Amino acid sequence: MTAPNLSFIGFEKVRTGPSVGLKGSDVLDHTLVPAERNLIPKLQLMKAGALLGFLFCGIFGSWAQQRNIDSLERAISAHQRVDTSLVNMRVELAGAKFFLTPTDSTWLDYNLETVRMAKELQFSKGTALAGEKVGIVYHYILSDPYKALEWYQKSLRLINTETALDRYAPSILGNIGNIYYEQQELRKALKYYQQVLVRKELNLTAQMNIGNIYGELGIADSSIHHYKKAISIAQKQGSFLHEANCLSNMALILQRQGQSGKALQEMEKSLELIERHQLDFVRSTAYSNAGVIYLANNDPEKAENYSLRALEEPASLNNLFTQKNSWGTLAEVYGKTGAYKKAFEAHQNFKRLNDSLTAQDRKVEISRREIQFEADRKEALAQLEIQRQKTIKMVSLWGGGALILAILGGALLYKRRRDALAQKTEAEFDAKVKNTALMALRAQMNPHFIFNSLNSIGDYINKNDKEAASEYLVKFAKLMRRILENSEKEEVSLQDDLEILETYLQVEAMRLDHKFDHTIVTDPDLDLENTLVPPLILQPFIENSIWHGISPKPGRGHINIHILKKGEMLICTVEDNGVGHSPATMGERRSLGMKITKSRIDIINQLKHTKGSVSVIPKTGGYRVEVALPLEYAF
Amino acid sequence: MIMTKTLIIDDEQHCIDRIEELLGTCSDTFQVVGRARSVETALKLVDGLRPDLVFLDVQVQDRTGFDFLRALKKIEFFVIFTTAFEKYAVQAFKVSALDYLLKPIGREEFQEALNKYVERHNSSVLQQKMEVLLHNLAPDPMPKRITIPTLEGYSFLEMADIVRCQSDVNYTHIFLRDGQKITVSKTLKSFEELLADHHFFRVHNSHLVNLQYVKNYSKGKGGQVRMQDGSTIDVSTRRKEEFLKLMKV
Repeated sequence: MTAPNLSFIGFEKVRTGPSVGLKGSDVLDHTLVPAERNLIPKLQLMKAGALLGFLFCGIFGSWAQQRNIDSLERAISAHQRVDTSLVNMRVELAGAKFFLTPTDSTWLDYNLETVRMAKELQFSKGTALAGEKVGIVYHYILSDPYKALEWYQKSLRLINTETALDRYAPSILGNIGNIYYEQQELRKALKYYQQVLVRKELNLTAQMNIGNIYGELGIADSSIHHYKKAISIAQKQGSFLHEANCLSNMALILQRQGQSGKALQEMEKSLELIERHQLDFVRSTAYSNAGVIYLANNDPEKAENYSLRALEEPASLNNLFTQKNSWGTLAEVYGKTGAYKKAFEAHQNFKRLNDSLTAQDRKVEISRREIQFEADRKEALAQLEIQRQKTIKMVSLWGGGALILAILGGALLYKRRRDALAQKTEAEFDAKVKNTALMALRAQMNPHFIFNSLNSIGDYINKNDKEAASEYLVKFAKLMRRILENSEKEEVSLQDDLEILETYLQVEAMRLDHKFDHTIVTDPDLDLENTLVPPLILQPFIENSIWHGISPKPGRGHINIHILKKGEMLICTVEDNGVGHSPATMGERRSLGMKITKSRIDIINQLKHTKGSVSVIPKTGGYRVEVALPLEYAF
Repeated sequence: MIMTKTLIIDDEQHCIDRIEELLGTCSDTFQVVGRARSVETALKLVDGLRPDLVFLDVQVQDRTGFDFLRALKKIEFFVIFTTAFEKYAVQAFKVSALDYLLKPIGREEFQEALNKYVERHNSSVLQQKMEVLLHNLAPDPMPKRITIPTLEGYSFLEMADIVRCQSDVNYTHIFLRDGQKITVSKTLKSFEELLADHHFFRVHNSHLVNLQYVKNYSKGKGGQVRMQDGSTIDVSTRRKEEFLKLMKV
């Protein structure tokens, strides 16, 4: 880039965007709050008016470059490779052309694309400058000061890391200053502007904006001092625009000082320049200020005239500050001249605009970001001082290694966890399958009960023993009810199970005409309520004893049921003094009951990793089965 | 001897016959004055007959015995419900401490129910028990109630007022929200059966808690729950998992 030459050429079009570089009146009116409540007081006049500040748009361009926009565009489109020179050209074009076509909504994407290219090339200058351009779009076109500040600060951070890029800092600093200025953080804005002063090309704008700030702060002397400096620079450079603006702003400050006469002088100089050079850019602000000053100089006619003209200026459409001020002046003019209805209307407009300009809460967010940035910057500086680039590299190497290790470790843990989960899911699925199997097995047993019992009832009916049939039926119903109640449960309390077995034994005893008696003995150490067993696990063996042991036997028989606790096992024994174990009595029914029970116990063993078992213990004169179950408690 | 006027309401003739047959042995004290095979007939008969005792089937054609009771302004007779296998009804009878017989009706159970009637038919308590029953059978979201036999008589409680129950051998202490303690000569298991469907959970052999009033759970082997009344209850290791599942942890 050639030695840049600050130019404001494009600014006349800038006004199509909102709030471009126009500042001031909003600031003033915040100090006016109490005054504006009393419709059009004197005080307001004292402080009304707009100070027009200029932006630091970062255009390091010249007339020549301006004219070169076309050739620049051609060069860009002809450029085949994505390299630093392309990035440079894109930045340059954005700087030169942006303010000619600020309403072109593609600028944001265009600049973001440039940032992306520059980043890919690891071209920090390009990244910083293109980033600043993104900030400018957010700042002056999209009116998003937060995003703008973020981008400015990003660029600034990048610039701060390389001394070679120092020269690009002031324009960003200036724009950050502008954001604070807009947000009424005047002292902060001043801090940033003062940093800009070191840069000659931006001196004019900086001086002027500093003048504005001192004006806002009510430090009139300093304000006027800086304006005068700015005016002299402007005159040297032949920049009428700056000169006119400074004169207009200075007039306003003088007016606030109570020096109405002097103010009028400067104001008229400004107006003269504007008319002579057709400086549309500052026209509406200056007219608005002129309204204030003429009013103070007891010239309501001119005050009204200029205020109305300020409002008529196309630029004022987008400048709420100017509009608000002009309505304020008009309200006062009409109030003075007794046109109260008009005064009221003007004040309504003033109030409406003022309300929409009140956005105090923005301050907080900005400050937060600045604090963060400051902290980041300090940390970065400290880091730089402590460690050399090399060590940083080492650190990042080690860090990278550690990171890789961490990732590997994480992946390993993840895999393990995933495997464990998979196993668990598998186990759960398995359990489900097995439970289903268990239920199926239990379901198989119920029909045995039902049909054997129905046979018995039929038997009573055949014998025409109505009362016995009825009694049997009641018992059978009771038994069925209990069995159904328990059929969905995997485990029931031993108490419940023994009660059901008791009923079952009673039912069977009735069928066999009380051919046998029975005893159920439980270990006194067992808490029957708290001990869980699979429902009716002993029933098939009791059934066998009754029908294959006792029934064929001549004479009465006896069935003993023992439930004993043995270590962690529950030993359940069914014993009879029937005809005993003989192949003849070992019919199909008997083996089916045994098979089902074995399967049930096997599944329980698998599910619970226990060692339950069933064993037939032959004995002389009878039959004995022992079922060992893992001891399970409900609580 | 005063005759007990008995009305039998059942849609199946053989069930009416069975009750009559069972009553036959004590025909000197019980007289069947009416038989109804529909709710409508029963409602027509009841005013004229003014029965002392009603055997009431739960399912009467497409209506229920409860419809019959609801249709009455005042219940001035003792009711013994009969049902085959209506689980919800049985649960409601249990909760309301009302008498019921399961069909087919056994002679022993029948005699027991009659004895209860003879011993302690007390219409004012019955009225309250009926209220509990009908209240609980009403559609949600009516708060559920429970009839609790106490040493003095009966307590009619809202389930939501019970914070927890604690077993003491064959007694159960019921701790209420207002700090009151009621001791009942029933096992904790019987309360568990009555209340398990109403957000109660047996966290321990000796403790049944209303999950609604569990304030926090502290980890441990089984852990402990802290109830809203300030009491701390142990959770049994074997109940922990299911408890946490119920609390949706």
